[in-house]
Amino acid sequence: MIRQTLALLLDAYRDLNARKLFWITLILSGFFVGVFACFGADSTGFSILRWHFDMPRHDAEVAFKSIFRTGVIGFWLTWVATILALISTAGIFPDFITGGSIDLYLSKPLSRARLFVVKYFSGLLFVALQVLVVTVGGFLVMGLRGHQWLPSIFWAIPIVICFFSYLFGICVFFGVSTRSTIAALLLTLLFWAVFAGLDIAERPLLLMRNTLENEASRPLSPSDDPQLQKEHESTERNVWLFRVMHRTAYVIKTITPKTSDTIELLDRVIFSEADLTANLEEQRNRAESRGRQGPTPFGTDPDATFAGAKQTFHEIWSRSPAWVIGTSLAFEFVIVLWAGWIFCRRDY
Amino acid sequence: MATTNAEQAIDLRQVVKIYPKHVHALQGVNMRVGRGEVFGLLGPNGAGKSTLVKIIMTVVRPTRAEGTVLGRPIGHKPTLARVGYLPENHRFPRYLTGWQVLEFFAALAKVDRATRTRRSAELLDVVGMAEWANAKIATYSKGMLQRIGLAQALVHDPDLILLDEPTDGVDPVGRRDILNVLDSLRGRGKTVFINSHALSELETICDRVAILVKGQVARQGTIDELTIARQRYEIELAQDDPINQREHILLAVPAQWQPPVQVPASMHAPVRFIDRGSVNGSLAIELDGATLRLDTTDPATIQPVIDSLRGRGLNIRRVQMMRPSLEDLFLDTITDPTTGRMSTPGAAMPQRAGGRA
Repeated sequence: MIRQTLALLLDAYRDLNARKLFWITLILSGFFVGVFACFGADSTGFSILRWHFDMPRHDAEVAFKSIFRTGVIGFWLTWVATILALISTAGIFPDFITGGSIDLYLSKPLSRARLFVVKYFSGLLFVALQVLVVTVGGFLVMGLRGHQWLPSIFWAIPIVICFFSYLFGICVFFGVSTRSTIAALLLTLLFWAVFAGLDIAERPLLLMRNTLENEASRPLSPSDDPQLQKEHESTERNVWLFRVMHRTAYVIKTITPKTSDTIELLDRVIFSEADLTANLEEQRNRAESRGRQGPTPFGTDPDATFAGAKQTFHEIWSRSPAWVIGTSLAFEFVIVLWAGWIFCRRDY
Repeated sequence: MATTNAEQAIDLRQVVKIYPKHVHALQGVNMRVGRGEVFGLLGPNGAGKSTLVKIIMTVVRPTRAEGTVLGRPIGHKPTLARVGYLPENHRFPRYLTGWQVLEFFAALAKVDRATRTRRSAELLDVVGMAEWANAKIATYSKGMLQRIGLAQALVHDPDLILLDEPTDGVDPVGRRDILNVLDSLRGRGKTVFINSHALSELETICDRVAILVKGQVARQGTIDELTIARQRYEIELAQDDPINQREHILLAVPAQWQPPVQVPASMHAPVRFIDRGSVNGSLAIELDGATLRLDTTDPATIQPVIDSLRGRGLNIRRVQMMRPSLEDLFLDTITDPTTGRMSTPGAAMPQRAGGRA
């Protein structure tokens, strides 16, 4: 049993090794780590190659870590490298179940279920190797150039693999059911866009709900202007509306993969809550210094909006990793189970 | 003589496969392959041959099936460690070398490292691929792929080997080599099950054959059993005027002739007529062009016919007792005697309302 599993894993590695896109992506991953190494931070400030910018140590460290989190992980690994990984791995199952290929595997003393499971996990190898290179590189650069040895950065490996596995599960489902690489790839990208859209939509709804709740909670005396009272009643109606809308988005989000939320879990291991709250304060101060004291784009009170933003941030920050990853993995489990059922029941 | 399961490598009973949209690929196949036999499975395209092989190899799930493979029920996965399989149009991973293919599939068949290294080296030599062992599969020709495919089917030293079109795309030298390998397997007591259209090759190598038509076994037995039973005399007449000659022959032979059967044109022959009848109500006779065929092996029975032909002034070119080849047997099996048409490719389809297929 172990011999067969090892043989399949070795085969998956050889398959990856033969794919040019894998090596191109790996080289580009190395390049992004190299670019990150151009930056540095120390007790006196922030540096780019030979140029040094004086700033408080804490600010320099946060800026340095932000480059890794936003540029290397956020942009490269979870967007560009993920798309390249999907392009490279979308064909694994459609190719595998092609007539003449699958026969060779099914005719061996190996159950279909095990074959499917091993093949599925070996498909994650692409991203696992990429994220391993980036994380080890990032860890070394942070230590050598930023003087911050952060072992917690290695949480990026399981988190990014989890994030990719949500998409790969969908890709496998469509690959097995349609037998088409192109269909699997396009449908996965479409679903990814939907999930990302849900993530994006839920946050402004939460922000609006919190902001309006803050506005509605302001005490109103009978001597207040009737216009103000009318606005207050309208705000209370809107609170109810946004509560319902947010609740709906939240329920939908609960049962679907949370791609953005999963990657944002990395913020918790790279930054402290205070770092990010300070960032919010700074944004508000900048807005104030530019004289934007008037109504916000939604017509809400700036103080209520800022309080709502802080509340929203804390609410999102306090969502448990078990909820973010657990419910996403539950979705993935169901979709992969479905794909596995199709794989196991089909005639080839 | 009744045989037990222990003596059978494959014992299939009532194997039925119905694909979606009511495509009846197999309609109750019964087939037995003895241990140590080389068995050939023939049939026109779409007869269900590959489906049957795939059911044995668990690639396709039967709608209904009883029976055993190497003494274990059909579908028993661990038994597959003792079965080798070369599928038709196989696709090995193109990034592997020939050597890696053998190592990989041997590992999947649970062969230990030392044995698979030794067996891979031996088999690459046996199939004539030792020099190409370290070249990528992507660089192989069709014939080379078949050779590696055969080695892959044998790498775990199976007791039963199923080969689907093993000589497809292989040059004559390669075909001879493959047949030699199969012959040596027979010598070592292995059971070989070949699904092929290369009838002349099957005739030289197979102990027994089965002919599958529209998902049913039309004939099954040793080649001798099947062909000796169909030996017959052929009288070939010198051809002059084909139209008048046919009339003369029909008049000359004292037989009760039935209306002629029109044989549709094929790639090899134009439209022609075959006359069938019987002499004295018992001896079946057939006239195909200038050749008369009489279903008898008794020389005395054909003498009156020869006398009649000569009496009419017809010149006889040849009188010979013919034993049909496997190809003749195959063509005869798949031809509808009433229409002269060969079985159309494809599986049996359900009858629609109104009687149209």
